Amino acid sequence: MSLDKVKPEELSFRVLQQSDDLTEFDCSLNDSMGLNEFIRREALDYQREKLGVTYLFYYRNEVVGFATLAMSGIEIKEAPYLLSIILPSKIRIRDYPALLIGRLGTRNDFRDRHVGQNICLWCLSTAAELCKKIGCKLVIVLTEGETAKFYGKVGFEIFPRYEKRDRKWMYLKIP
Amino acid sequence: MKPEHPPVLTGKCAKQFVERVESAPSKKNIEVFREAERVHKAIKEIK
Repeated sequence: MSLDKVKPEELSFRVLQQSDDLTEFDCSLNDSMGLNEFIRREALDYQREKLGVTYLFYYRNEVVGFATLAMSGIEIKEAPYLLSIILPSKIRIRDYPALLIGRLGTRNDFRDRHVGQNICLWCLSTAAELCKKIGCKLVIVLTEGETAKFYGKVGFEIFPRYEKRDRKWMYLKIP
Repeated sequence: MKPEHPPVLTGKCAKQFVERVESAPSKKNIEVFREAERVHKAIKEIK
């Protein structure tokens, strides 16, 4: 039985709070990245330490998904002579600032209902807003298995040398 | 779960990556972010 897609208008969000009880939240299907453990036990610690902010997404007053965002970057080493040829400005970029989608999870019973896609797009737009204020050229994410296909459909590309690995770092440039 | 460090790119991989990132954005890339903006506006913040 296919369930209706959840429209973005039907979702709302807020930042994770100390009082949130997520013990019943279950996104354990294909959970090789440890999302359940993260949201139940670690997300608040990450937030306290300013390592990542977790946003909870609600549908009819129930949490149906979450995303954890953090600043990150891609370091370029060793190829300045190549890069100065590529970049018209001749600026030698050594670090590409990026927004990291640290975790993104959808509740099991809301899979295949566009909740994950809506949350992902929300993250992309957040990155686009950030790049106007603090500089941010990319959105990056670490994927594994089916999640690589999910991000691929959105437009993410696999970093060179990660194509054949089980865990793939992927990126999407902000236009 | 241990956090994993993002890629550090060297040599040909760095060149390939920079070429892709510095090329003009594709039509799909622009469309994805246009859709993202629409979605972002539609999802309201709980205050």
